Amino acid sequence: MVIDLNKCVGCGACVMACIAENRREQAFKAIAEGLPALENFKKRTYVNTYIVGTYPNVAVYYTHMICQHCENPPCVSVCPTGASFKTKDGIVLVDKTKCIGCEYCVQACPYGARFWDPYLRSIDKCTFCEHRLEKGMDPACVTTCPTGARLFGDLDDPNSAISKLVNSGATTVFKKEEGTKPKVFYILPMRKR
Amino acid sequence: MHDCPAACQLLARVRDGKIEKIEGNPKGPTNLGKICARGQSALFRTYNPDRLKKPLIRNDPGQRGSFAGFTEASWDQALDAVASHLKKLISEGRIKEVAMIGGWAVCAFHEPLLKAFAETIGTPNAIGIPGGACYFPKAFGWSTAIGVGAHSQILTDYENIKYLVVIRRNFFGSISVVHGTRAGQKIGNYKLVVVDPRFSETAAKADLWLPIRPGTDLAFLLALINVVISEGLYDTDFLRKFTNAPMLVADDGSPLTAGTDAAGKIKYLVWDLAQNKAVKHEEAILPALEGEFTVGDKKAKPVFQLLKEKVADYTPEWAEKITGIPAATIKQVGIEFGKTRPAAVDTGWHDPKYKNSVMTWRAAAILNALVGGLIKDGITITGVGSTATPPSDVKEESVMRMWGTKQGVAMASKGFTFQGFLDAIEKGDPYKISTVFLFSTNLVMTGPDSTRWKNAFKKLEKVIALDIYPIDTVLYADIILPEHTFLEKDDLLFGMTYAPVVGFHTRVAAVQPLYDTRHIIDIVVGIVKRLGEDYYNKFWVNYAKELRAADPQAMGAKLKDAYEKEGVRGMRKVQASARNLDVAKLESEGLIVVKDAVTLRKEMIQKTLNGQLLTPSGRIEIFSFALNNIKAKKGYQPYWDPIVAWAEPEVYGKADGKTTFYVVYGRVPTMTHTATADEPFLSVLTPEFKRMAWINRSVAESLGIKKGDKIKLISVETGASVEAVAFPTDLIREDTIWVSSDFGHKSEALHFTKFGVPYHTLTGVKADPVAGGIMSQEVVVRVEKA
Repeated sequence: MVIDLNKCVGCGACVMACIAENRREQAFKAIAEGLPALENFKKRTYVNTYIVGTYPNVAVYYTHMICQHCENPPCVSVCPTGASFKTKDGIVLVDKTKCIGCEYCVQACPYGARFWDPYLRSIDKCTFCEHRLEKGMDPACVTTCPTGARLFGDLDDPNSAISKLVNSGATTVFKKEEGTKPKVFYILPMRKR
Repeated sequence: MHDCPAACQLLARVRDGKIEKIEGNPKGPTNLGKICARGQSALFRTYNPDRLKKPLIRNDPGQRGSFAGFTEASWDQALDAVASHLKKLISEGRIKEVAMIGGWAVCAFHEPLLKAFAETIGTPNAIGIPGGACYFPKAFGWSTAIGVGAHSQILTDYENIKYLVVIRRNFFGSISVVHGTRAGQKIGNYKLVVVDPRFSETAAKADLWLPIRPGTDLAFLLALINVVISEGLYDTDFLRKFTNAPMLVADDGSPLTAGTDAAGKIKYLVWDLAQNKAVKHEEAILPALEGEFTVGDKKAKPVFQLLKEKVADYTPEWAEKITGIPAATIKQVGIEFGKTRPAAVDTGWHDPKYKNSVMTWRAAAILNALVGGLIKDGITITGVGSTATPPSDVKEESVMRMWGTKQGVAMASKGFTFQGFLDAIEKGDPYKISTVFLFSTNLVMTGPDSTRWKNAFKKLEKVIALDIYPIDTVLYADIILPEHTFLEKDDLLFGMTYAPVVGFHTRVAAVQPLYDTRHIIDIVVGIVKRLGEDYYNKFWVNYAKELRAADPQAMGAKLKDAYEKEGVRGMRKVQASARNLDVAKLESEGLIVVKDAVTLRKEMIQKTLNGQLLTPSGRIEIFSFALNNIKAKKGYQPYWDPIVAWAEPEVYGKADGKTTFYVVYGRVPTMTHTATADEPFLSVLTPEFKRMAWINRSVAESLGIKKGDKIKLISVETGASVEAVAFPTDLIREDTIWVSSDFGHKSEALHFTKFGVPYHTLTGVKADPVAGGIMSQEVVVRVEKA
C-alpha cells in the first residue's frame, strides 16, 4: 500500500470505511453501550492532524496509522501461540482462535497498529481487507478514499502501478531503523509554508 | 443515492435483511465511486437507537422544547390529528395561517411535494430554507452572468483546471465532497489559491493561502479584474463571441437594445469595426470592445470599455487596504491567473454570508469570463444546470414575499425570505401564522437569531414535524411524524446533480423499514386523503405541476393511479417512462446517464454562442439586464451595479482584533449540516478542536485565554451571547474567530451529540438587499472568559 499524504485531506473516510467493513458488529455493540464506548472504540486505521508554524506561515499535515504488514514483523516473532502470522502473500494476520490476549505483540509493534478488542476477546488489526482481495477488490479504505490518497497493489509484480511508484523513489517508510521492512509506503507532504 | 445535499450515488451491501456496508456506486458520475465518512457511516444512521420509531402526539404545548409528554400513536391517529386541525382551519377560513418550512432534505429532493401540499390545502406559505440560508445569493450572483448558478447547476472543471482561486468555501472539508473528490484527485495538477480568513482543510492543500479580512473577497476579485485588464491578459475572442462585452451602453447608462427575438431574448447593438456602424451582435463581424461611438444622437461605449473604466480605481494597492492582502501578492495572483489557461475562480457552494454576497459572485463570474473560464473552460454548466428554469415567483400574499418586499429585497418575489415567518408568528405581521409544518429542518439551531425561533415556536397553535431524528427543532412539535431513512425507501426520479452529464438517479430500498416510519410522500398523501376526495384529486394535479409536467391533468392522473397501485415506486416508473428511461436499468443500477460530458459541454457552448442561455440576452452578461432592472426600480446602489462595483459588507471595519472580532463559520468533513450530529461514529471521529472556537494564538495570549477555556462570544450588535470552548491557534487571522456551524445540539433525545458552538444564537434577522439571504456572517463579537 502507498499512502500519498499530499492527497490526504483528513476527511476520515478511510477510518469510517474500515469500521463499517471490518468492525461493524463491534460498532453496533459500542453504539448500544453509548457515547463513552464509542470514544474508546479502537480503530484499525486512523488519521492524525498536525498543525505547525506561526500565523500566517502555517501548515496542517495528516499522518495515517495502519498496520505496516512488515516483511520482518516483530509481532509475529514474539507471539507465544502462533496466533500472529504472515501469509504467503505477505499479509500479517491474527488467528483469533489462537490468540490468548497476552499483548506481547501490542508491545512489540513499533507502529501502534495492534490493539485488544474487548468484543472479540482477541488482538485485532488491519488485514488489508484480505476478504476483499480474494474477490479482486481493493481494501475498503482504498476504494472509498475521495482523493485517491491510498493506493493498493502487488509489490511482487514489477509492472504494477504500485511497484513503479515505490521503485521511483518517491516513497518512504516509517521507522526504517527498526529493520521491519514495512509494506506500507508513504509519500511525504511537501512542506509549503 | 445518499440523503445528503451532495447526493452521492451509493450501493448498499445487504445480508439477511441487514445492511453490511455502503460503497460508492462505481457507475456514478457524481462521486466517481468514492464516498466520504458520512456516506460510510450512513448504515449506522438506519440502526441508530435514537431514531424516531413511531408517530408521537403531545397535547400540552407547554412542554414544547423538551422531549417530554409524548405518547406513541398509530399512523391513523397521528394523521387524523393533523387532518382535523387542517379541516378546522379551512372551515374557519384560516388556512393561510399554515406555513410549511423545508430543510435541506426537502429542498434538495422533495420541494415539489411541499409546494403541492401547500397549494392543495390553500396556503401560499411554503418554502425551503436553503434559498435564503444557503445558496440563493451565490446562485443569483452567478446567474446574473450565466443564467444559472446554484451548486447543482455549475461545476468547476477540476479535471482540466490549471489555476484555481477558491473564495468563501472549503471543498476538502465540507459537504461538497463531490467537488472535493474531483479537485482532490487532481491535486498537484493545478495551482490552488485559497482565500479564507482561517486555514481550512482546503487551505492545507493550497499553494497559496491568503487570509483575507472577512467579507472583502469582492475587493480582492475586483483588483484581480483590474490586473487582468491593465496587463492585457484577457481573452478578446471569448469576450466578443460568448459575452455581451461589446454591447453598446449610452452615456445615460441605458443599453442600446434592439427588441427581442422569438424566444424573448433581448437583442442589442454593438459597434462593428469591420462595417464601422452599430449592428446587432449576431450581425457583427468584429465587434468593438473598447472606445466610444456615436449611434444616432447618442454617445455610447461597449460594456467592456465601461468595465475597464470602472475597475481602473480598483488597484491592488486599493484592495490591500480593504482586504489586508499585500498589493504585490494580488498583482502576482492576477498575472498568473491571466496567463494560465484554463483558470477560474471556483463555483462556491454556500454563501448567504454578507450584504455583498451577490456582487462578490458576480465579480467571480466576470473575472472568469475575462479569461474564457466560463462554460467553455473553467466553470461549466452541469446537466441539472442545462435543463434549469429560473426559480418561479411565489404568491404575492405569501408571508415570505410580503416580508421580503417590506425589507426592500429586490428578488422578494422568489420568496426565499423565510425570515419573515418570525414577525408573522410573533406579531401577526403581515398576518398571523398559527400552524407550522417542519419538514426536516432545524430552525432552532440554524435559523438566524435561533433563540427567537425557539420562542416563536412556543407561541404557535400547532406544530407538526417530520424527521428521522428527535433533533432540537422536532422537540417543539405537537405531532411528530417519523420518516424512513434513505436506505429503507424507494424514491422518485431526480436529476443527477454535481456531474458534468445529463442523467437521472433514484433510491431503491436496501432493507425493509425497521420501525413504524413512513415515506414523506406517504405521509403527505395520507394527510391530503383525509381532507376529502376533492383535495386528494387536486393534490395529484398540483404535484404533477410542481414536478414540471407538460400536462399536469394527465400526468396527475397517471401519478395517482401509479401511486395507488405501487406507491412511490409506481410514481417513479411513470416519471421514468415519461423520459423514455429504461425502468429496469434504473432500478438495478440506480442511475441512468443520457448525455455524456463531452456532448453536454459542446451543447452549452453552442447555446451560449447562439444566445440561448437563461440570461435575458441569452449570452454571458458582463452587463446584467437583471441588475439593471433592479437599478431602474430602486435607483443605483453598488450592491446591484449592472456591471460590477465595490460594495461593503455591513461588518466592514467594525472589528479591531483586540477586543472585537469578525466571526466566520465553516464545516468539518465529518458532518452534513446539523443532521448528522447524532451519528454515533461521526460524532467521535470529529476532532475536538473542530468543535471549538478558533481564536488567533497571540490574541488569545493577550486576552489570557488558554486552550479549553470556556469563553463567551457576545454580539456587539444585539448583545446575544453564546458559550464556546477556546482553541487558540495559528490557523486564523488576528481579527477573526472561527466556529463550526454543525454542533451544539441540546436535544435530550439525542445520545451521541457532543459540544459545539450554537452559532446562530449570534446572528440577527437580516436580508441582503438583492437576494434576501440571511447575511449569516454579518456578526462582530466581543470575547470574554466565561
